[in-house]
Amino acid sequence: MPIRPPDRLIARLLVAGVLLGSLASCARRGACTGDYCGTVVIAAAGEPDILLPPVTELSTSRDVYDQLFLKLADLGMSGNTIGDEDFQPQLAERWEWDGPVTLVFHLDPRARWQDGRAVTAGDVVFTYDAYTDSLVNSPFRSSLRLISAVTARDSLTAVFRFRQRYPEMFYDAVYQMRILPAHLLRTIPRDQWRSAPFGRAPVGDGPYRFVAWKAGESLELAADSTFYLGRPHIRRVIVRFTPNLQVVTTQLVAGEADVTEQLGSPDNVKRACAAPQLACYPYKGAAYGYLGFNLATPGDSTKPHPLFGDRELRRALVMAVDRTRLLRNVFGDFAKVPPGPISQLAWIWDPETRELPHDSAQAARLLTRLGWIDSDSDGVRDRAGQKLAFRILVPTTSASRRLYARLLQEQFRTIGAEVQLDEVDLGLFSERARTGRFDAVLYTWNTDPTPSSSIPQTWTQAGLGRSNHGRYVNPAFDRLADRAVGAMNHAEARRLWRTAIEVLNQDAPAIFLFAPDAVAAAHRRITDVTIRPDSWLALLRTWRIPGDRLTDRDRAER
Amino acid sequence: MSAWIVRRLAAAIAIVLAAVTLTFFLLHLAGGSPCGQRDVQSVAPEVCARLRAQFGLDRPIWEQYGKYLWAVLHGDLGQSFWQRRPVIAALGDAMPNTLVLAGTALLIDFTLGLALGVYQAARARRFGDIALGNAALFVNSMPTFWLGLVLLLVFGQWLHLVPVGGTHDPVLCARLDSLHCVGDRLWHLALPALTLGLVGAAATARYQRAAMLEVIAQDFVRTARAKGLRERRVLLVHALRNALLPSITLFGLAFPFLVTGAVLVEWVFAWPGMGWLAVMAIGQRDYPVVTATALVASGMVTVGNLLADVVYAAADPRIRVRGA
Amino acid sequence: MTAGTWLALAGALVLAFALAAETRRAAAGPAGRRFFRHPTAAPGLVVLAFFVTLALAAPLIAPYPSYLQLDPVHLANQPPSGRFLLGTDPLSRDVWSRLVYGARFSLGIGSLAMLVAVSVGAAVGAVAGYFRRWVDALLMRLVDVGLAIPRVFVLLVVVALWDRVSLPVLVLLIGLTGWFGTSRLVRAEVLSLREREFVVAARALGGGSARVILRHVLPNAAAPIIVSAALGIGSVMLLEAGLSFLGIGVPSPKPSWGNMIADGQDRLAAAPWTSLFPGLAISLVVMALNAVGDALRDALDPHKEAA
Repeated sequence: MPIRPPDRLIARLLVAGVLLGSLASCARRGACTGDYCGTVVIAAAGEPDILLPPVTELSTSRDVYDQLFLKLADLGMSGNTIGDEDFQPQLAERWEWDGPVTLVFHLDPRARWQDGRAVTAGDVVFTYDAYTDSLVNSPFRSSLRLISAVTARDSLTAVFRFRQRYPEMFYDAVYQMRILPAHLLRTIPRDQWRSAPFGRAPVGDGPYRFVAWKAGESLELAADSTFYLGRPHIRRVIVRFTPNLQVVTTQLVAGEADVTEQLGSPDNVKRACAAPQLACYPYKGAAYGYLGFNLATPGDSTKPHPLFGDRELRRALVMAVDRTRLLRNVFGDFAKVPPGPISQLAWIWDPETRELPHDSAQAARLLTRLGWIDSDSDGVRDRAGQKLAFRILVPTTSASRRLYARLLQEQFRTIGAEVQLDEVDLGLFSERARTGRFDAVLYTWNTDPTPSSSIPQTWTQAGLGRSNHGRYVNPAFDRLADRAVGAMNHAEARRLWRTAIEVLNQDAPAIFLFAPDAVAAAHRRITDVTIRPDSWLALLRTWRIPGDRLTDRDRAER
Repeated sequence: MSAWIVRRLAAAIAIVLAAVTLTFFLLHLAGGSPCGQRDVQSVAPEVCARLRAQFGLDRPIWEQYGKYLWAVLHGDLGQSFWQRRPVIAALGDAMPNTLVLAGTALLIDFTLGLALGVYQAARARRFGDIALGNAALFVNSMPTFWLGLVLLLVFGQWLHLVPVGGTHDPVLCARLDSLHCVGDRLWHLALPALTLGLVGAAATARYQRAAMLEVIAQDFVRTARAKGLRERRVLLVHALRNALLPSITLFGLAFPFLVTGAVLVEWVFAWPGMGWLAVMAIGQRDYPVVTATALVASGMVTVGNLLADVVYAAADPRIRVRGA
Repeated sequence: MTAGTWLALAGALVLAFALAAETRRAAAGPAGRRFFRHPTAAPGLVVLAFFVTLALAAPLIAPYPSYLQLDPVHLANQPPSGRFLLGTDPLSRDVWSRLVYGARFSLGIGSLAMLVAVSVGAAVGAVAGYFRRWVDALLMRLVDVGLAIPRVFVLLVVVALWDRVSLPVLVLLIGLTGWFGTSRLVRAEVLSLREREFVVAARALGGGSARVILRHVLPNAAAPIIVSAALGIGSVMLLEAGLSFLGIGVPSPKPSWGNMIADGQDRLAAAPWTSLFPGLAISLVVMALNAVGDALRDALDPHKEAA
């Protein structure tokens, strides 16, 4: 078979190709000008699982659905959760107290679902019903336990009744629930909400509309120009999913992405903040990370865990870990060791809180006293034929937790415990944590602005089967937490919380490892970047790209 | 000739069916295994329940197999729990990307490899040949994903010459609607295709060099030289034509390499093709997607071999006469 | 690096060169001459001997245990120096020590898996070539199927189903998915051998098939077996590196050259040595295996002049 050298035929084809191509480039480049253009590409490590608010606790999902669904009212920039003065109207244009335990919301008549229907009080009632339904099994159910009923007085008036008076009544009523469209969700059986198609293509009433979701790659939102609280300036929002924060930083520096929530490691912060086109925004970190023990047998919550059901063993393991050194390795100076299940944002942060000390000698002695000795000299302690061996569940999307997992592996090895790692993707990680299929899990929580909703959700009886993955229950802690929630002023609350956390620390249900500082990065052309620490994208609709700073990217049509 | 093609086609179909049977066997084995227990070689807990539901393990095995075969032949490869949509849809999105990557890599592989092989044969045993030969050996011995990481580090992170992942700019070029976007896609394609292509080219060059040397030693080349033809014409027209034949078999061998190499290279470059899909699905223990990619990969390899055989037969009349 | 470990390293290098030189001297026959005619054969032997020595004498050569995190605060991500020959990784583990112990895992898994593959492949190929007819047809169709399904996908399916695959099972699986090429080569060799006089004689003398295969046929078919073994170890090492890189191969904290590359990925820009050196090591060893394999092919089977 002879070979033809490149000849005129190929040359002709090339010319034709170029001509066709240049014709095609006359396609729309987009002619958007002014203050309402702008395309922002958000680089996120990890992908949302489902965009139906009551059923997911992933913060990546929350960041997206917060643009699609509205709350009755939202927290102000001060972060004050007591009373109702510092809250901003959203779905409710005004409210009043009708007695000490009755709260009446008047909905804004301009609010519309994206299919045109009006938002009514019936939706509010439906939402409360869904969030508290055991079939939906929402992780946020425990935060709503002090609300006794929600009713609709008329189509634009919703009435909340509480069981008792306490300082954060208003916060509980408004913060957790995103109002859902009853007319679209009523027909879906509650136990199938987790797999409902609505969760992959939601219809909301917020400043942004859902456009598209390419699994594993990206998710797109478009601004609703008729949004009654003010048209969002950024016209398109694209969330790009990346495998980890290092790639996020590289994309930012290379100009392939515009914003990210949290740069994570000191390396990334250095690289991003040195890039000329990026601006860095440090803010109070709302996250804390910990190694949580499963106090029940994985897959069978009725039986205690063969290892971690033993309080003394847990205490020994906590004492074996040098949390400060591990923190320095992973976060450098950009984080602190939390004294309990709280983030740097929490106003109850008290460095004087009593915790278990780091003392590996004592940990070793304690283990020996419990009967865990290395009888076969393989470096791993055992007792009655059972090895002191367990597995740590880690998500592959978090480079810092993967580092922690390996650091912890070594710390536990030195006291004779054998640790293996289960590294899975974020979605599977979340599912396994939720269903209790783990020995120990490296979990990170983005906390609420107040401990009264986040701590009970995760560490009390009310959180069992929902966010209390380790199934830790201590009635004494629950009582103290309840009293702290009901405390009438900050000073008393702080005192009560400290006592409660000290009780929890003695029980050692987890090793509280890190509470990172948060540093966000955004392209300099984006102005008015306001970041509310508890939910960094809450004010996305107020961000702007001024008309004179638009780039080709901003003007491009879909 | 046509009878031979039909036979080869039948053989190819049989191979794919055998691959389907093997995956069924594995799935059935897993479904019957102990589920989610500690310290035992057990099946992932979330996988267990789904397998049992999908296969109805109380039915006789022939019935299960029949159902499975029927489903696969109809393109029903199951539901992905990670993506919450049919596997075939996920594959449909991913396949074009892999084909583009593999096709470009194949192009680079063969153009570079043939050129290198011919050059090395022309400079046999002199410095150019030895240096290139060792370089090719080194490149062929590298883990492809490591080469990808290094290239990405140098050209993507340090020099900012190429983008660091994906197939296209998600904002400007979500649709291929302009020459600029074609360029954007090519730019994203460059490094992953180069990574795969380079390693393949190294192997191709070695084969081609050997084949050329063998042909050059033959009589007809000496005759051409004796006739006074220019060396370049001798090499490129007479020798190469005949030395191409072994390279066609190499074309068939390249397919398994590309399909396998694509898994890691796509992962490193975040190129959303079939290999990337398989690795993402592994992280979610999403077995329907993983088994589907295994089947598709087998299909691609089989088709590649079939194509290579057909082309080889068309090129070499001796084969046609002899029969397979 | 202590004085002792420097000495041990030097010793390993010297040993490698000495072994290669000794082999050259001992292999004086025609096969040996053909082997060493390849310019890359001798260096290949040196490299292989060096790394095998590293693997075998790891406790002597490596200054630190592979799992030891020396000082996560101050000694993480250190560049190569006199103290840490190849630097430290993000967990403050000595990269050189991990490389040396990693040789055990990478080379060990390569050899073991190849052993399994070659054994099964030789057995199947011999049986197919010896008995011919329907046995041959059946086995070769099986081989066709095996060659059509890319190895890595079979392993991915197994991991997707069985979650955690223990290391011995993984090695077995890698071996069981890699014997197909060997079986074809052995079959071809056996087909030609089976008509030779000594085989005919052995059968005439009343030898059972198994006996004839094992004692007469296979030893003479050794050439393709050895060559495919040498080349096969390389491909297994690359496969294991890929799997470990993805996190489904050798588990932490055990070092393998593949998972070392993964460990260094997050800090690749700032501290490339963690990922660079294991990759170089794999490249060198596989290159040496390819070179030695090619030379062996020449040496043992002069008809098949490759280059």
